[in-house]
Amino acid sequence: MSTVSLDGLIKQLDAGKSEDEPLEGLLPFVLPTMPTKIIGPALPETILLGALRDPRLRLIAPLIITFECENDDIVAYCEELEEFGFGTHLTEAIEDLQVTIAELYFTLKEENDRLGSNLIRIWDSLHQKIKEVS
Amino acid sequence: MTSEEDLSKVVPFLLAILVCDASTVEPSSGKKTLVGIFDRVLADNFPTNRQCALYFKITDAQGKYIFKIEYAQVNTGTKLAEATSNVVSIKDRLKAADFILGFPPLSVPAPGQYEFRLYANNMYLGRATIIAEKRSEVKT
Repeated sequence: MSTVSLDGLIKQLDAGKSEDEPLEGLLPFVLPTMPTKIIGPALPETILLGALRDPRLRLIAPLIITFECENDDIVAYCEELEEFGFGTHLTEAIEDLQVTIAELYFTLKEENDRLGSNLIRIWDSLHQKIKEVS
Repeated sequence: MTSEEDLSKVVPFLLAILVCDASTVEPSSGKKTLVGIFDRVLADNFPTNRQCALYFKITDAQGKYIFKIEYAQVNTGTKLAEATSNVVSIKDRLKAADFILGFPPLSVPAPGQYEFRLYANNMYLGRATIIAEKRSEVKT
């Protein structure tokens, strides 16, 4: 398999330029020094969720998600929306939670005139952080 | 030095994330070329290594961002590599911005599912998945 050395490309361009302009679009990543060893467990305590994977909805502010192991499953929990996602691994739990939050949004939107105080609070949170894409 | 307060709170929207063998940037236009896009790794034996590059495209981003990519083995839940960018400044929220990152050879310890998770200012945006399989067990 033929591969193109990215390092070689960067050096070549730098040498050919009179000004020290960064190459647009090529991220100046700090690569791991030992990229092939295990550097830690994949389960973080919390993450900020920045997407819902529903084409109708966009997150305009991130949601805080915490994780726990329960037996062999991973549980992703969004405290402010009181919603859970389950999965056999981290991203499965995140994606289950993403679907759950999207369903919650449309359910509460539909039932908006019949919500109790707790659900009104959750709807307010959803409304502040999610916008619909037309 | 950029402090955490300087980083943008605007949540970018991930348009595409792809894994490929290699990538190049055309210097005058900034256009990217991706070579050998794949989502499956075939190997005779494991563990093996695989050189690859990650391309991603975002929109609705404005301000300063630090991108982080985690490479993890899904089945065991272990993080095998992590790369963090320097601060990247994005000016126009209405335009898309795309980036490539060339990885050194990454470890593929065993057959199974692996993923690259993309974070912008610690906000999870999405992932690209690859499946590693033993060549002898793949039906042609």
